[in-house]
Amino acid sequence: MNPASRHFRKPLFIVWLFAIMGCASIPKEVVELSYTVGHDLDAVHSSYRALIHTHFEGLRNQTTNFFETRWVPTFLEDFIQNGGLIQSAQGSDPKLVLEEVQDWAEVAVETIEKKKQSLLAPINADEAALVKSVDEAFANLIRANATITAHLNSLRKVQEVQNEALKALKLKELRAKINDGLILASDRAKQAIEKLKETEGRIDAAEKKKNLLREKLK
Amino acid sequence: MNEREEKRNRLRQHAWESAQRADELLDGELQALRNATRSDLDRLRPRVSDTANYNQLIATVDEATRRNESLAQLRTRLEQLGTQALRIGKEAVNLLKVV
Repeated sequence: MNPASRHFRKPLFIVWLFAIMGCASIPKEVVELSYTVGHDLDAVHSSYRALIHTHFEGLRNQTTNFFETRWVPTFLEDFIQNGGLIQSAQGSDPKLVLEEVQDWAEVAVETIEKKKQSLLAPINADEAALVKSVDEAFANLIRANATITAHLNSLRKVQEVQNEALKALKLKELRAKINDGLILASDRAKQAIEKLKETEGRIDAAEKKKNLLREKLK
Repeated sequence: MNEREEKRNRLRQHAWESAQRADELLDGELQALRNATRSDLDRLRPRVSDTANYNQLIATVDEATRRNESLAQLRTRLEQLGTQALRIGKEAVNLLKVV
């Protein structure tokens, strides 16, 4: 092999390694955190569903309470007269009395139940619609988070391969050094920006003082 | 239809009339109850991105993950390839011996 070509191989390989995923490091806690978020999303979803159910249960209780204390007595008062319950109960044939009273009671219960369902149906439909949209939203969040977790995990695996390759080339320290250098440069840039801001503030204050003096001299 | 069934149908008609009258008498209260128990679903629904948007992003990330996984398995695959090539080579040698 041409010695010059061999000489270029190493740096090229390093470039390739860093091109795989740049210099960022991925601690295993990132994957753990993402996994924990996914798990907790499940718990929040269950709690959200329970809250929805409690809210609609309250509305159902409110409706049932009104229905039992207002509508049913009003209906029965009318139906006792209109349905001829008293006349039926006063009949001479006990068998016929029993039959008619039984029929009256069955029709009354049937009508009451039908009315109750018609009042509760819109509440149940609202609850089902809301639960459906919340389930869909959480399913998307959980799926997206699982995708991110898997991706982070794959990055970790690539990093491990990268580490092994660097170790084989005895260059493992290089990445850490580059990272440290970059972090240091970034921190210094931050400090410089802060100093600039500070100076900017002082200039503003001096400008104000100058203007005040000018005003006084006038 | 027997006599009892006819009587029951008449009762059903009376019950329906009684229910209508109860509705009329309690109209105001029923309306107030409906208003109080209706939920503003638009306000309660979570305002999240639509599923199509999620699907598109997830598919892109999945593809990137697959590529990473493939890359991470490179060494194992190369090792496997080496082992298999060695095995096939040995079998080929044995075959030549028989021939």
